Amino acid sequence: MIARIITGLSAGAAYAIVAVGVVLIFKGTKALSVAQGEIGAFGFFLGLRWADRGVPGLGWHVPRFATLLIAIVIGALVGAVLERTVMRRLVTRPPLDALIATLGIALFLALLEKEMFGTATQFAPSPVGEWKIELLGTSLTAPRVIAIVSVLIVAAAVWLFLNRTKFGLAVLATTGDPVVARVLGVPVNRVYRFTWVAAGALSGLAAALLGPAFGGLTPFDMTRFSLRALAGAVIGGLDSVWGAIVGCLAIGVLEGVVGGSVSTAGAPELAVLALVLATLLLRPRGLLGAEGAA
Amino acid sequence: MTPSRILGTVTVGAAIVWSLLAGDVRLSILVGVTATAIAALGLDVLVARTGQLSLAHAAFLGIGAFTVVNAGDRGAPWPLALLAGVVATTFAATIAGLPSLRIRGLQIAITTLAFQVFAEKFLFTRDDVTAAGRTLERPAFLRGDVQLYLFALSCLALVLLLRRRLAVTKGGRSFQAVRDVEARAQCFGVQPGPSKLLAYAISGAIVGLAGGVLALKAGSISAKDPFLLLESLQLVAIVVVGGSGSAAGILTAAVLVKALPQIITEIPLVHLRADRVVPIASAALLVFAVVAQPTGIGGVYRAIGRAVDRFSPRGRREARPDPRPHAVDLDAAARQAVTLRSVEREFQLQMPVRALLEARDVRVAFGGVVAIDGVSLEVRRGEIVGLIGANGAGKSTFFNAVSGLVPVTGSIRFRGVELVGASPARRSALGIARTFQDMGLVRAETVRENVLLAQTWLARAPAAVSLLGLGTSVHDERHLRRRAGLALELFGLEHLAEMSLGELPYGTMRIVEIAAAVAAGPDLLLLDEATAGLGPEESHALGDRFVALRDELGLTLVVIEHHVPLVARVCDYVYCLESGALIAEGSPSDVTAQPRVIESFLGGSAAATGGATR
Amino acid sequence: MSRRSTIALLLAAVLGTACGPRFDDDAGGLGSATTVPGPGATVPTPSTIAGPGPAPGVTDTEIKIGYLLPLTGAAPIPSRFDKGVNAYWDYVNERGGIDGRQVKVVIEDTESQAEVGKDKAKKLIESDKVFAVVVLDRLENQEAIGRYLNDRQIPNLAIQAPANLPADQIWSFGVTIDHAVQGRLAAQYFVHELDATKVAIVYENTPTLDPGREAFEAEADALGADVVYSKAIDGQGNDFSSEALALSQSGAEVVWLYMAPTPAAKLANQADAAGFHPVWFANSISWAFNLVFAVGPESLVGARAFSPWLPLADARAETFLEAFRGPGGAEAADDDLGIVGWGIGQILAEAIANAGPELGQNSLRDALQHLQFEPDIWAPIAFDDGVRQGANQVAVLKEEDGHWVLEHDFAGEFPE
Repeated sequence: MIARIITGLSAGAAYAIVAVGVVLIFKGTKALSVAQGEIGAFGFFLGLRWADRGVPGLGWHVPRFATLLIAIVIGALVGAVLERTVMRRLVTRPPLDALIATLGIALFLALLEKEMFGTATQFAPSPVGEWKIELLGTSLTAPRVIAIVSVLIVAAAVWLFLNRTKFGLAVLATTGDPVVARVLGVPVNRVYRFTWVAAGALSGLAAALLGPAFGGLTPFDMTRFSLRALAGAVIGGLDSVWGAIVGCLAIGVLEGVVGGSVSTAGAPELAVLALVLATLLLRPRGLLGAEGAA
Repeated sequence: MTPSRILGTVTVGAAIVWSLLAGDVRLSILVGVTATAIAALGLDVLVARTGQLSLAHAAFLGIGAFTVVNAGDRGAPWPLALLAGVVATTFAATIAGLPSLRIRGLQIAITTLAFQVFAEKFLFTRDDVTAAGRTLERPAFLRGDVQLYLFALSCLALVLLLRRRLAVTKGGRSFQAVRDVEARAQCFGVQPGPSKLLAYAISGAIVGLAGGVLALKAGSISAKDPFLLLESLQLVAIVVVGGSGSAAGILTAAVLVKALPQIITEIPLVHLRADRVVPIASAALLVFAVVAQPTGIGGVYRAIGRAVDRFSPRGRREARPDPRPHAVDLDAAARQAVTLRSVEREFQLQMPVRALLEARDVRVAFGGVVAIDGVSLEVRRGEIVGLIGANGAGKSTFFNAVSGLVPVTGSIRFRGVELVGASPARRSALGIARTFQDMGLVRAETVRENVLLAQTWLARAPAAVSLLGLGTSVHDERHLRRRAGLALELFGLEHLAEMSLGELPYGTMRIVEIAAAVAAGPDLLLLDEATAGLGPEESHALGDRFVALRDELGLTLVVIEHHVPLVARVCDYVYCLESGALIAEGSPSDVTAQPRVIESFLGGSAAATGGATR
Repeated sequence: MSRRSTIALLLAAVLGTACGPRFDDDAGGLGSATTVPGPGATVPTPSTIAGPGPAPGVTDTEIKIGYLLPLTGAAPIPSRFDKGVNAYWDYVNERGGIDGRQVKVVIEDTESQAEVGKDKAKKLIESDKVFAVVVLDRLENQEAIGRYLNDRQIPNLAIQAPANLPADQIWSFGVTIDHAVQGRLAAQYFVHELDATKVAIVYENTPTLDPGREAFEAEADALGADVVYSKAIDGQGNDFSSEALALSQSGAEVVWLYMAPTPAAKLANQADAAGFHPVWFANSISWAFNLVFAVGPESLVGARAFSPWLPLADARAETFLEAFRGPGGAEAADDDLGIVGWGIGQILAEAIANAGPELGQNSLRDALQHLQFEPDIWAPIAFDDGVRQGANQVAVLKEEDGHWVLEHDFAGEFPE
């Protein structure tokens, strides 16, 4: 049981990395992005392809650890491109429009991955090494350990950034009212771009950890993971970074414990649904969310 | 018949004839496409009318289809099996919609997503749910493909009819009101909670019917692929690309997305396989539609229709009526007045009271901010009372207190009945109607529909009943329409009845709002800055109308106004508020002469001119 | 749409439905074929139909065969498969065809969906007028399509028939091993060939695999081995860490991963990372393809598999490789998917040849029903009265240097 809790925590930590990106985008642009998973997956698939077959034109096979960096960088780039071409035009529209747009983007990216990399699972060797840690009766592989460490670092970094730096405060100001923020001189467009770039980089990191942790990455896998990240973010309160982390960890643990103990098909999904409904019904703003935020 | 309508009917007819001539193989495919189209229309009820996005509709489709097969295999005759499917799906959708009572739009997408995943992994892996190995026998008269296709088309027609009923009855109007102006809609008698659940129920029923069509086509369903998340997303894509609210657009999108890859295997010029290109193209199209063409294919059709209409004089006329209200002589409108005023209220034993509205020690606080601090005032029957004060003084908040939209301590009595604690709908039923400072109506709806919306409390039959046209609902609806017509005549708006509210000039919109409030048949009318944004002659005319409303319709009015000459001319009694407290009351000339009022409201420079003459 | 026009449409549709029979005469010309007999209608047995039977798609010079494959959709097969199909029939046609008739192939995409598959089957029968059909898809889709083809009385070959093929589906024939028989065989192989005393099975959470699993567990017990772990997993799941942990703690020596290639590779990889490395086992046609080693190059070392066809490295696959690679040997056939199309083609060709020059759907069905045939790269086929699951033998494959090689030739049992 302890073993399952620990492995569940590690999976939840990886989802939480995606969820932090989701919350950043929500705070900055009031949009809920469903596409975060596939943005990261795209970058990681590209990295894996370049490691396996070499960069086209250069013939150079990217070393394993570099697939992580490529995932992060490409994720950030894709985020920037999406923000500039699509999401910026939707900021003044109801948030539901933005959500639907990100649905379309997620679908598009996943199908693009299918075309470019095939439908088969990609072998995803760990970019962070093959070591593992024995802990309380279970062993955590390297990607999982790094996921836990990363989420803590990311959480601290984001908190410091939002509350202690000038640009961070700009992000918070934009949340309240972009029109007012613009009048006050907040560089609103830069805020939008930043949230999408940061979220894209984060999802690249998550993909590069989740793929190896789960023994391989298939197109559409990351969409399934980002659904869990969304559920975690919603449970935690869409505008709270710590809330998203807590929510995702809860989901990870719940899935691990229920999946391991109960053999009925779909029991973990039922449990997650129950958790989401219960949280929203008892506390609509989420565990750590602010009043009236969503 | 305008050219655009003729064009539309001819196109639809040609499409149906063409599909019937397509041959058996294509017909079989088209039955599947029709089922998808019906499911998309079901989703559209939620999206278009209530603005909620459900990602669980493929799961509902599965529940419907599986239930029909299950029931049919166990011996139920096919109509009963279909009914079982519809009922099961309605039930599932209503359950899935329960969270909407507590949470808002974005989170609904996530909860429905969780429901979809749960259904896929839990419900659809159980043999007893998925009717594995069971078969539904097609009734003899549906054995042929043509017959099945025609049956599917008649189901589609039924759904279109249902959508039409939604648009013209109380239920459908409430959906839109709940979506756009949820809190205020309560003042009209709309109940947001049951309204939302009804939307889910109707959406589920429609999807259940689609599931039944699928079950009849397949006979037995072994794979659950058509009911997975990807299909839910595809339904969303069909609704968005087709244009939410447009049946024609959605049908076109369904055909494009579902039928095309099966009928055309290779896209000509580009020499790519259609079945690989279409999914990725439809994803890109979805994003494009959201960003660049939010009205979707339906919007394109409407634009074509408008362009075509410009060719006919009748079309041109219908497209552009004069947006100003006609001048109406209210003295001559006695008949309408009497009809509008005769409203049934519940019987109440009343003590004769001096004042129609009596507020005593009313206090409204939000968090730490006190908006109204111990205000007591009185409105007597047959008076026009003015409420003035600087911005933020608490005037609109006071209206909200009377309407029941904010929590209040103290006492507000209307005709001797205590209002505090009563729901906004009940207050309307007692005889209070109001307008809002920033428009409390639904801009997306037509003028007539908005006036009908304001009378929601008058329709006694519940929304679901009126949808089916049962009981007194048809009579109610006709009654409401008659009243709406009269109210529009009274304000010179009948030529604008079918225009979308949002397309009218601001001033006309405000008049519509007043007409709607009057249509609700109140005794007390609260008007919040009715003259804001109007020019001087229009203001003057509106002032005359206030008086006429009092004299001809016997209404009592409370008006919030900034325009002091109007107040002076029209009001019998004036209250002045500052920072939530009453600082002066009396006749207009008395009040506007008081130095404190002048300072607070009129500004120091007006003091030199003695106040009222500006 | 205005109220009047929707009511008009509704009325027209209802009237149209009521006037049904008039619409039956359509351009297709296959009068009665437009009405599908419901289940429960008696399917005429061959003895009541005289002669070789109808022969659509058959002329003096040509035979048309239809293939239904999932080329797109959720679980598509790579296109090397239909290349194998075409390679085989080109090979046959180059050598004069069958009884002087050239074989023409029409391939349709089921899009991995049962309903689309049925619609395409209808198209093959009514528009393309094929003579026989080959179906390859997931078990559930195959069941639905197979039932439809039976209702239309079209002889059809399926790569796997469901374990409980209904007795009245006399037009369907499966060319791989029955799952229950295979389960028993697997237990024998583990105990007698691999000398295992502790065995485990991890399987996808679907009832279609129950017969295989139950047979395996029963036989393992009977042979004195310990089934130390038996767990169902979600075929689309990703986190198999608890299964990996439990497996390593159970001490299993051979583990049967009774699932699709994707979860199998992921599970093996996760177990490998956790330090657990048993002999992994694949059942026939699940993940016994070379491309699975691309996903699990380190974890699947030493894996074993049952297969209905021989690995590419075997000498008997030479003919296929030559034909598949084409003139000049340009196309690499490093992966074995093409061989499946080749093998099935051979079986069908043999049955058609056996049916003789008076070719009809009845005589083909008859020929199939009595087919006893040993193809060069496929397991021996032995159909018989009442037995339409043909191959009861499997070849045993072993992983070597990242691809499958032959460890044990076709066998129907593994005695002590």
